[in-house]
Amino acid sequence: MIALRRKLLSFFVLALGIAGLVPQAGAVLTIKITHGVEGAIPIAIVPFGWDGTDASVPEDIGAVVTADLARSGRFDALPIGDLPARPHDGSAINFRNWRMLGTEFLLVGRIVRQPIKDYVLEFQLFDVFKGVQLVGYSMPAREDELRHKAHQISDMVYEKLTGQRGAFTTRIAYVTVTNARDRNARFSLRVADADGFNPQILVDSKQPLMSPAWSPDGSRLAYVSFEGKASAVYVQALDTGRRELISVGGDAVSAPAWSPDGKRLALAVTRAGNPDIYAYDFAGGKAQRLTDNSAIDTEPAWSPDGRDIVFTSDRGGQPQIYSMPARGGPARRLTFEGSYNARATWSPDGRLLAMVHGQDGRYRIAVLDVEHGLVQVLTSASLDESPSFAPNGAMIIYATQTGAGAELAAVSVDGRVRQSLVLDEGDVREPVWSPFK
Amino acid sequence: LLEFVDKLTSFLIALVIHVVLLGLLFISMDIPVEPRAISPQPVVDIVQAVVVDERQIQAELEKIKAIEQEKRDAERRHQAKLAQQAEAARKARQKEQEQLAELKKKQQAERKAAEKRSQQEQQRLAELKQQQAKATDERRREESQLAEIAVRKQRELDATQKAETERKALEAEKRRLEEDKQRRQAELALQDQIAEEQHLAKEEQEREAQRTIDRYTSIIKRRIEDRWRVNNAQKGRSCDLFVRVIPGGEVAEARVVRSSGDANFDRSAENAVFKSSPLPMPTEPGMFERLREIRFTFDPTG
Repeated sequence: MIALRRKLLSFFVLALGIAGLVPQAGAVLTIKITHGVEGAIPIAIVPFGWDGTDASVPEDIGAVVTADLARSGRFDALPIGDLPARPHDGSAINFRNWRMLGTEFLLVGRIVRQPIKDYVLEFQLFDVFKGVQLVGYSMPAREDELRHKAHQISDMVYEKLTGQRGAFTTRIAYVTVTNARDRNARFSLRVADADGFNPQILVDSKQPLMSPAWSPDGSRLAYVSFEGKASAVYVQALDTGRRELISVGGDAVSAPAWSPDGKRLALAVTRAGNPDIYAYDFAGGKAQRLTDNSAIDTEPAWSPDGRDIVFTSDRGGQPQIYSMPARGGPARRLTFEGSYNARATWSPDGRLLAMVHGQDGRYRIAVLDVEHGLVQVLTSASLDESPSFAPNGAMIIYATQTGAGAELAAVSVDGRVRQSLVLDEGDVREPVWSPFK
Repeated sequence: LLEFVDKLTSFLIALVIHVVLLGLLFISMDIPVEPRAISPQPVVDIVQAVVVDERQIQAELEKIKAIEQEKRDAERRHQAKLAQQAEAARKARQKEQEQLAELKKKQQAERKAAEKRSQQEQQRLAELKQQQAKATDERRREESQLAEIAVRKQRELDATQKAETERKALEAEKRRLEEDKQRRQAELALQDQIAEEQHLAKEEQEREAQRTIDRYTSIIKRRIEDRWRVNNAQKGRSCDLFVRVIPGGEVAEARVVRSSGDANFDRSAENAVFKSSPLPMPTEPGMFERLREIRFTFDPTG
């Protein structure tokens, strides 16, 4: 009887169990995804096709783009050896193969030789999981433009996939020094593509050149030259090479910084051995004094909204960053961490200041969240100098002293990705990233 | 008998004498009565009346009265004589009557004695008869009683048996009802227990299902989070995806149902889901149905 009952029960339970299998309508499970991986975007960049059989590829577009995207720290490009296929256009893509590799995006393209000399550069960016094209262009290019066009592709991919404008077609200015310690010392102010290629000499001098600064429109560079008896600030047009001495008097002038509207230049002017911040007005040809005290006030930097100027001052006993109204006025100390904070520069959005942060004898690049006062150290070397934001705010380029000398390096704003920009010539100092054109 | 005849003769003689005498008596008595039969109301003519001399009338009346007195005295003497004769006859008759009464008395006494004897005999017989009847009655009554008793006993027996039968039937009915009730209760209890166990089983099943879902939710979440790229610039954004998988967990559809406003953020979420395909799915029967459609909220700040 009991056994029967149990059987009966189990039957009922079973029957019920079957009944319980009926899916519950309307009850859609919700799963909340709250954490992600601070990871790079997985992309595969297939070497661009080349239809010229009689000549070598004029430019390895894929390699340029790959290097650009990798340098940004935001992309993780599939190594060429791991590519499952090498399609050159969308019709040849078997997305399943790429999905299996976890590749989210795929860039394919080719260089088509046109009659005579010119080329057409074609490329397509695909969303691998959806199998749809995100970007696709066909661009005519002269041979000497191919590398620049490759940077343009990088910009488009970057912008499409990060939502941020790419800065691969911008340039950097920097000073190179050769034979720094002897009579043959040579200083050069140079401008190169953002990846360090195509360096061009803007100024060559046997005397030190320092503190290059891009005008907001990217057409001119201000810099300090010691070619005269004292240091002086020049503003030089890139296209013509014509330059202008900024005459503000004083014993020495240094650290020029453009106002966002390009109409003024903030400077550190030393009078009677004491540097103070001045604002030079191009229109009037005169400088207005903004700070006046016995401490060293130098390295001004105009905020992107033009309202404030931050600068380095040792008025508190140690170099720290202060902020004051652009028209002058009471200064407010911004940095309190570390024994040394100097050489501040604004992020394009005005939220961050990048600076040299000295603590325990080590000088590293750090960013200060202006609003919240938080300092985040981004680099880990012992002598890093001259930070400069990329115009999209994603990277900071800086100089770092190594055993072999000074070289350029770049770090992502979150400090996650750092890499060296190895240039071919000696010490490289004071890099400054150009604005967007 | 002679004596009797003798007596009867004398009786008859006496009787004749009596009759004669009585007849005489009646005839004599009839004569005085006759005048009284004259009409008592004289016819008088009032109108022709004439007054006469009072003294003449009185004298006339005195004369009439004397005549009538004379008549009444004679009658009275006659009557006395007749009374004497009647007295003698009466005495003789009385004597005879006495004798006759005595005889009658004697005869009566004899008759009475005989009657009495007969009566006594009859009474005795009656009594005997009565006794017999009584005995019979008694016997009958006894028999009747016995019969009655027997009947009663039979009835009682019958009644008892009937009562017993009825009682048994009643008990049986009661027992049946009780059993029915118990059975029903048992059935109800069983049903109750079944329901309870079903409920518990369902609950347990649901709990188990929920545990499974929770487990897979956690696994899926981990799997997707491991594949979801985020960066600082996207902090503060969130989006919702509707995801449909086919058996085996392969993602058949991942659709943004609430955009973050940032195409790349949305895409990163979609790709995180696609890259996690196939999503781990429970193999327990029925569980896939509950996980085939999932809504994901991608919210790095949450």
